[in-house]
Amino acid sequence: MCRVLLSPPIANNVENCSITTLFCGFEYINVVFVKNLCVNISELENEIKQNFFFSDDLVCRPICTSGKNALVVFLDGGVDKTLLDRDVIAPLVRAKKERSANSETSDDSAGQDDKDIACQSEIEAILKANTFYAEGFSATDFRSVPQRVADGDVAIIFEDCEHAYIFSIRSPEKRATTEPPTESVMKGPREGFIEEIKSNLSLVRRRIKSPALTVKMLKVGKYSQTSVAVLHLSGVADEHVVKEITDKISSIDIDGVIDSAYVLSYLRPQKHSFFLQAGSSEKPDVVSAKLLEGRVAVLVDGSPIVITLPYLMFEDVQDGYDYYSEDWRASIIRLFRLFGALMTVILPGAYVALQTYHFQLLPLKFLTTLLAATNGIPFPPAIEMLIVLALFEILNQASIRMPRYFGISLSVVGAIVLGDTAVKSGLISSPSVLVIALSAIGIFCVPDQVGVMSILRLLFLLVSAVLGFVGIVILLIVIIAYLAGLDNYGTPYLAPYAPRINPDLKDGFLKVATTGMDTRPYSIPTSNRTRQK
Amino acid sequence: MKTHTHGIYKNLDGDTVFNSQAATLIFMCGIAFKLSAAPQMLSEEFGSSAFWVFLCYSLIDSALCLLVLLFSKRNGDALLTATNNALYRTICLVIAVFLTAKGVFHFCYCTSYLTHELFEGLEPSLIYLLFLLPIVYLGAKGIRSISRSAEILFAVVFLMLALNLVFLNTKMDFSRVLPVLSKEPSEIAVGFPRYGIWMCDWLPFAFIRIKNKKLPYITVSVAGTFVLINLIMLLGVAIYGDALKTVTDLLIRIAGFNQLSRDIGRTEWGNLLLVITTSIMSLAFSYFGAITACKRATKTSLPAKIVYPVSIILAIMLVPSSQIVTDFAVQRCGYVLFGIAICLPILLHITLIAERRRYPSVQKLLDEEYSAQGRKNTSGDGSMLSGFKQNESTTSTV
Repeated sequence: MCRVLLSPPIANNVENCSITTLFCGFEYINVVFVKNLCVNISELENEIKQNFFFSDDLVCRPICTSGKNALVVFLDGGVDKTLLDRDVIAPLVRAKKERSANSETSDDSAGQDDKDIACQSEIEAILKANTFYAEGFSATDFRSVPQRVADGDVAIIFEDCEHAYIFSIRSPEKRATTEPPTESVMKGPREGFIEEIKSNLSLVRRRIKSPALTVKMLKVGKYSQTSVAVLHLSGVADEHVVKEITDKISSIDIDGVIDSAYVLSYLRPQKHSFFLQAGSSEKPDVVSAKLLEGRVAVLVDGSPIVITLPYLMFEDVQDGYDYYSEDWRASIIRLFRLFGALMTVILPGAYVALQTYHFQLLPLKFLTTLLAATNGIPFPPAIEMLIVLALFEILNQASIRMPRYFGISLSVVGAIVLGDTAVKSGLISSPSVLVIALSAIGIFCVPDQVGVMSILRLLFLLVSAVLGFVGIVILLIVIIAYLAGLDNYGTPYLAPYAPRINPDLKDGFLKVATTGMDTRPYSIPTSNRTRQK
Repeated sequence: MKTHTHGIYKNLDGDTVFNSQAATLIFMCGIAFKLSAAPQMLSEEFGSSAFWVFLCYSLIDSALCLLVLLFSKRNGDALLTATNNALYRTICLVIAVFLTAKGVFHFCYCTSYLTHELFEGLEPSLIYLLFLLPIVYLGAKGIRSISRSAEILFAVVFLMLALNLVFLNTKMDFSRVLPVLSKEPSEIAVGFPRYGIWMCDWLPFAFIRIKNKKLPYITVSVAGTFVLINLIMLLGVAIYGDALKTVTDLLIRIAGFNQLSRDIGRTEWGNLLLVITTSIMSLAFSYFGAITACKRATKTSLPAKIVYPVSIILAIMLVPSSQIVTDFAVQRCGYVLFGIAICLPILLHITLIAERRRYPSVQKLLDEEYSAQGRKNTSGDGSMLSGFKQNESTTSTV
């Protein structure tokens, strides 16, 4: 497709034309420019609308400033129109009127020429003198105009001008920085990241007020052009790790990135492992603390979840509140979290193993109580446990997805159906409901590992159903061996416990006071080990 | 990607572990099999002298362990591999065969007690296969995974063992260890070397470099393991006396005399899980040792990777009962194993000493390469020896 943008006086000067190929939307179009000058505003307007497939939210407003026709192009909804009108368009239009008024009072012999803007430098001078936007403007090639407008910027194109001028006056809709629902604390900061990347960056900058906090912005996604920011502390984070992460993000070739999970897929060292391989948080204080430890943070525009690397499995047992409360309390709570996580994973399998294979290990009183409770249940223990587990998972998923209004009724149904009716009818036993309930509660001791623990719980259950305790032990050893072999950007996955790194144990299950943490974690590659003296 | 500023990975190659990790492995291998069938067999043969014989075995085994660790500390494997010593390759081949034989015997014993203790109505072949899987998986992953897994599991193992011993509640008569010589010394001397199957579990350390942390973990571990296994043996003799000859698994049985068993049921299961864990770790360690020894001997590890598990599978398939294999191991085969176990560490040292005298410059290069300063001066291929090999060939022609 070829469009010729020639004004009549220049139509004969064909040898000065050049054909430029623009990619806009889903196709390439050829636009003819004369000496890179955009000469026909109305044709250009039609062209740009065609590039955007005549989208209704594309606004092309012709204006006239100082005798020069110009076209203001932007997408409705993404631009702060108040600022645009007040600080860009109005001053430009006013500049024309003032210029016209001035030219009337001046010498007539020069008035006709002075009315029109003679050159590009004059355009830029007018823009500088009359627009009052903090970020200013940038000149860009015409080829960039559709993409910049799609990014949310405003483009002003003047007739007979070599460049288009871009104003970044974005005003995206964004929500307030509220406490994230998955990381609530009793005491401590309650801010959370939102979907807007610049707001998120400012939240981090407020906590790390140092020029060393380095932000590298990347664009990922052919159509989405999503902004991705890689943050690290220069002089603290290991440059090899930063480079590796940045290179991996730069090499992503995908049509669009909607959430940080898309980027995470490319950053995982082990592609096919269901174990977590990157940390994530929605809280700026947590991310800032991790940056100070020497980690790298990855922010993705459109996602409130920030990725942090390298990742240690143990960091999911840590919580922000541990650092805002007493150390002894944090130590006890961490041990309980570990116990809760182990209970979640192993308890259902252990119950099945004891009932199926190793009932002789149980104390007599316990055994008689258990036998009384399970007497008459038509299913084998393993099947019974799987049924109860499936019911709980269904209840879980339903409670996440259902509208709030039905919450009460679902709670009643779940409690009555599962807790009472099913047991009374003799289809499942109360010990199995108790075991799964404990497991379902314990899983949220380490909320980031919910998915992993659900899978492990099922694996242990299946193995114990076939092999009993030996199966549990063997599976546990295999899993530990697998995790022990994982490395994550130069960091052993099970550090600081395997390999045992004594200085890092100060922030392990037993936490010491902040005054005692004088070095950064040895588990994480860093250029500067000293934290405090 | 290597991050040279990272404290952990400084000077650490693939076959390097910390001394704390080595210490946990020493502990796990030390208790895995010595407290299983050995007390029963020794009691059957030597009566009240069983404890003293066991003590002697422990002393010899500890000395052998220290010899092997000394060999490792002196970079023996690196030197003898760099110089392509023919005797060392032969020794490594013997080590591979020795560790494979030990693996077969120990595996058969493990599955024997598993089927007796834990399972009724479960196919033994299923147990064998399932027991073999983690051993092969761990052993093939390498020493780093084995040592890290041992570090994680050590806490559970030690805690369980300690709790069992602390809450021990039974009548004990320590005079049952007397008389020291229940038989003629000549008879004891003839029977003594038959239990070589329990010797030299720490031989794979010859192929591992150990990076030392500040505390003397290895010394403490060797001493602690020695004391612990002898203590348990002493307790076994004191509790059972002559009846020890009927106790097939002392470490499991001893947990039955526990104050907590009234409240939480049979507490033997705790030590049973402990034995399973240490058995898997020990067998994986020996599998790794066999693989590495085979690689040193034949430049490829594939034969050992295949022969080790296949030998185990053949043994359990062809032999009607795993107990037969265990019994075979303490007949004439036991003398052979004893002799090999004694000779191997000594031969390693002799070979090393001879090679160090022959190539003093190589030893110096290795010491520098593996020091903190020398690491910065390594050539592009990560080794300072590449230059040596050219020079050495020139020298030899002269």
